[in-house]
Amino acid sequence: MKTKFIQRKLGKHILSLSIFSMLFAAWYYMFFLMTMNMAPVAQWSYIDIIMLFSMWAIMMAGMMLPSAMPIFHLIEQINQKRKLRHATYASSLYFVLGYLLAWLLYSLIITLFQWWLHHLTLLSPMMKSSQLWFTCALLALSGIYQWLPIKQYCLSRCRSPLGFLTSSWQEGINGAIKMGYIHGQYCLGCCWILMALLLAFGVMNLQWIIALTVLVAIEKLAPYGLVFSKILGVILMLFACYLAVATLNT
Amino acid sequence: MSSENASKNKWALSMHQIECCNCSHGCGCQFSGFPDSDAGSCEALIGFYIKTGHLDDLDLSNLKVIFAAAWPKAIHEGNGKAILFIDSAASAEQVGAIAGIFTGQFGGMPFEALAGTFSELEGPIVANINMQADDKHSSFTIEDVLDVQHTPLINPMNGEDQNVHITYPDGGFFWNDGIIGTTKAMSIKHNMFSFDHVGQFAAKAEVNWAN
Repeated sequence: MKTKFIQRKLGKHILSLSIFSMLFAAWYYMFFLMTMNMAPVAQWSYIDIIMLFSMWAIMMAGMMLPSAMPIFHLIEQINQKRKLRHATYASSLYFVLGYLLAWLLYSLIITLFQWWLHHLTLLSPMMKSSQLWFTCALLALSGIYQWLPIKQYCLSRCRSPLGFLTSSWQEGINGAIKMGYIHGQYCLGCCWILMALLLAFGVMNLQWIIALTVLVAIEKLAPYGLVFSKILGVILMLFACYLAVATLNT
Repeated sequence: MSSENASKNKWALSMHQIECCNCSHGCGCQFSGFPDSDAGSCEALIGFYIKTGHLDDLDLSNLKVIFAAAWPKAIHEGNGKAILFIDSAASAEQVGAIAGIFTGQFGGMPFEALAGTFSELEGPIVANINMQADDKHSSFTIEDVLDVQHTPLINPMNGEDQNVHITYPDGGFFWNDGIIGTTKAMSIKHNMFSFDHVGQFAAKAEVNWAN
């Protein structure tokens, strides 16, 4: 009797509890463990690459999960109502899993990309851009990307979770994972280059990690996020110019 | 077997949808999830004329339904309130069926997703509904409660109907092809709702929904 009661009480909050624990773990890692785990690497062994991949994966989860909360919440609402009327449903966590899979894929690609950049010595052993032109190019590109139709299309999709659910709903566990993966791809289309900015300022630079998390959240959750994303694009481009000019003048 | 499967509760509705809200002419929700009304809220009146429809063996054709809804911010952010009106021509059994479908109890999009955004739901209120479904001049009214009249968008230069559509080849927010107009009447006064937003967004569309 008692365990059933606890199960029912817990069941209502299982999604928020899981996401909170994931966020807590991810941010704890970023604040306290990341720099210890990732000593400067000169010679890349496969273990280093696996470590780097895990770091990206954890970072992406910590940075991207907060701004996807509205759609997680909507799906949980649907599931709670289904539970009440004893209808079949797939746990919202499957959707979260699908969402994270998309970012896991990205983490793999950017890990390999970073490895390649280290080979070209565009990044310092501290995982930070060592070339001014590379920093400026990355900033300028991300600024331009903010204005491209594909970015605006993906951002619109991300900002309209209800529209996504009503037009792309799929039943079952596979359906939930697939929906999460597709929604994750829209978020990827939105933010991949913003996340890649970490290569310019230091992959483990906490200030930038926090700043990018906040910027992404504003783009996705604030009423004027679409306008904001374009303003951010201009700021990024200006920043690229400023860095180039300031450094050339000294 | 869950009880939902056991009793089936399969429904399908093919309807005229006559909608209007407090957004300016594009309706931000259609494109990026957030209303573009002055207050950032969504206040909408939507009329449905069921051309053909059923719940299991129960026929729901030719019934009229009105959904009045308001959300303080974007719809997906929740805390919405809604009232469901059903025409008095519906039998008690049909009223139950429509209330069940529209409040998402039998599953199926978009009702099931919408249901999650409401914190208060009133109704079903059975009332005498007048409804004209027309591409350009749709209207629906309940005497002393609400009044909606669509009118086309007129080109201010030459006074001609601008004939505006919003289409989503890959499937839209609620419909795939909407005939866009504006309103010359759009008001409700009933318990928790009292608003009047003449001259804002209006759309007439055909929707086919099922679970």
